Amino acid sequence: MSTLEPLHLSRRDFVSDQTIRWCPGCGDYAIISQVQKVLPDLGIPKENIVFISGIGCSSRFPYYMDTYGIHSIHGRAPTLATGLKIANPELSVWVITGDGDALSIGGNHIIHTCRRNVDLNIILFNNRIYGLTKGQYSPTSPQGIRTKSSPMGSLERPLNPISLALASEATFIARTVDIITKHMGDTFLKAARHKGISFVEVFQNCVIFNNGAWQPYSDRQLRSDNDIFLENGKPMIFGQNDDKGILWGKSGLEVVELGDQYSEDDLVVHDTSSVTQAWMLSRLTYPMPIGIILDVQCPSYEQAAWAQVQEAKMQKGEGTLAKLFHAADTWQIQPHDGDRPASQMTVHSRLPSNLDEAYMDDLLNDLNESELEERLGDMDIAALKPHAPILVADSARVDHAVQLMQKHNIGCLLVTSADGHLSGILTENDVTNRILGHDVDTHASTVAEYMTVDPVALGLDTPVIESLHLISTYGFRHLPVVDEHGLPLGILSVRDIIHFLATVL
Amino acid sequence: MTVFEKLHKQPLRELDLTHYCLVSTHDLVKDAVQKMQETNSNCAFVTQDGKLMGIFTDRDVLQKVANKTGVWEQAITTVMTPNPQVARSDYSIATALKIMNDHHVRNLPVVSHSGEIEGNFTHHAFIRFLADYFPTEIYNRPSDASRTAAHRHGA
Repeated sequence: MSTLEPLHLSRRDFVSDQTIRWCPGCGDYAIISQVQKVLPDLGIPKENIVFISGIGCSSRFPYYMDTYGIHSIHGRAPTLATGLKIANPELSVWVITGDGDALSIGGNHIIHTCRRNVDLNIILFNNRIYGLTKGQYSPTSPQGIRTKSSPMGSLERPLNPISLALASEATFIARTVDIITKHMGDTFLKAARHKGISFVEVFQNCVIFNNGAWQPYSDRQLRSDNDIFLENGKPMIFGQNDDKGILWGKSGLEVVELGDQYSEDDLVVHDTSSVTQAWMLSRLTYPMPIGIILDVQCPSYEQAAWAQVQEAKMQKGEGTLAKLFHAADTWQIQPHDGDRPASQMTVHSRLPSNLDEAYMDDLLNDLNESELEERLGDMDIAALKPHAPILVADSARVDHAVQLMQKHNIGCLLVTSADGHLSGILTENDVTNRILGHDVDTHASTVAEYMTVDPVALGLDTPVIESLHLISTYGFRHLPVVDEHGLPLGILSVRDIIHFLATVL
Repeated sequence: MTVFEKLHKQPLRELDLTHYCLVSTHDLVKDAVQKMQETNSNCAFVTQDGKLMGIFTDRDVLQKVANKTGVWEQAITTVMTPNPQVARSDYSIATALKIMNDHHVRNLPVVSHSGEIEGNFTHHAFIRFLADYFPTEIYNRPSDASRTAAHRHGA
């Protein structure tokens, strides 16, 4: 197979078989969903993608990605990533870190990784708290916050990650919000396509220990008045009615009301290549700048390093490892009789797991269930009474499948393997996009060649809310329902789900 | 404001209505399908001088184009649905949903007072509106529902 062959990866290819251990409602879920959703768009084979994390809740990320990954040392993910990228420049290397991992213990490494402009994508999950260790203040926690480690209020002023990245000479700097999912996905794509260091701060909600920390900037009612969504080349306008803007004042960026005194022409036009503007934006908190703050080009570290290797080889020829080892003073230590083997140490320890459970139960009991959760949380897919599916064998001819859809006037067939299990789904979208006009001989091709293999399927006991998640996050229009053995039971369309919602909402 | 009040008050123009493509009444069926493929749209608006003349969806592709001979080279006007049901951009979401339901359509062109096309209201736009309201419940879910921990243990 030629390497230029399209990959046809889907987000499912990036979901691993590991059990996820994040708290229900954690913003980390939205972030990983978007990463898994946009990775196929990069056209990079799975085996060329690596996620490296440090320590923290967010750092469990690599387990949940079906790519290469390293759960590394606290604060040191950028160092492993730098080494990996230099050794294997063809890899797409991502660093997953949090406000503690990146800005406390790893502060030094993050600075120098940015400064070197290694072609890495750093995603900083900023929840303004230490979540994994159960709620101590972090370097981004606001001053005065009362936490387990600051019972009378934190004395420390918070660090601004965007300003730190700027001071560290990062070449791509952006900010996004966990639940503004499309913006987040787009931002990740742009970060991945940037050659050189990409630094993305994500406002992430820790639902257990710091719930609502970013509410003014994430809440759909509040955010249009509190956030400014930056677009390169566009004037800086914000507000629910696009009635406010930002202009250059005497001492920096100033917020003004649009109207009689000021018009769009007076406003600053966002320019991602301007470092000066990026500095001003990084200090702005009203409105909160969301989007790409800086995007400039400069040679990446690994490219420059390899250029030096080539130059050295041209001048001195190929080196050998043995020669290098013996280049300086070397000596040999002679073993002598009576040497004792290294003592074997046994570690005795007990994990305080009972304590953890009682503690988490206490915390979770305090969480308020929202309206939708109350109404839909206990309803499952069975309540939607899914239609009986129209089935087609994966060995059937494409033209027969199309006839079947036409006959029943439906947009979706469930495809079964010889043993009757659900093996794929064929939709009208596949007919429109992959078959028509593509020189496909529908008499000679089989359904198996054009279906979506192993589609996401629901059980009758799956919560209804899961179907909303799949539709809103991935844009699915049809969801198959299967029994516990994977045999198809029914099909749900977006229309069915909306009908159902209309009856309960 | 509760989500129910919002459904009745929020105008369509505030939703994501970008999922459509434009073709002209002079285009052939194959041009329209190609445009839909390029823009990854499920729906094409057929226009003449900026006015909406008809609508052509992937269901039409399935029913009227697939497995049929000769249709590929015909004018789009022969297979489109002429004078489609539309909504005005100041209609509420609830009104638009009702129109969709009554007319059994999945794409509802949204037009301004003067008839200019402003977008396409789809079921997905509605689901995204809901998701935006309940982000913690809807967005913050595991990517694979079967892979969540049954018991809490460890740190």
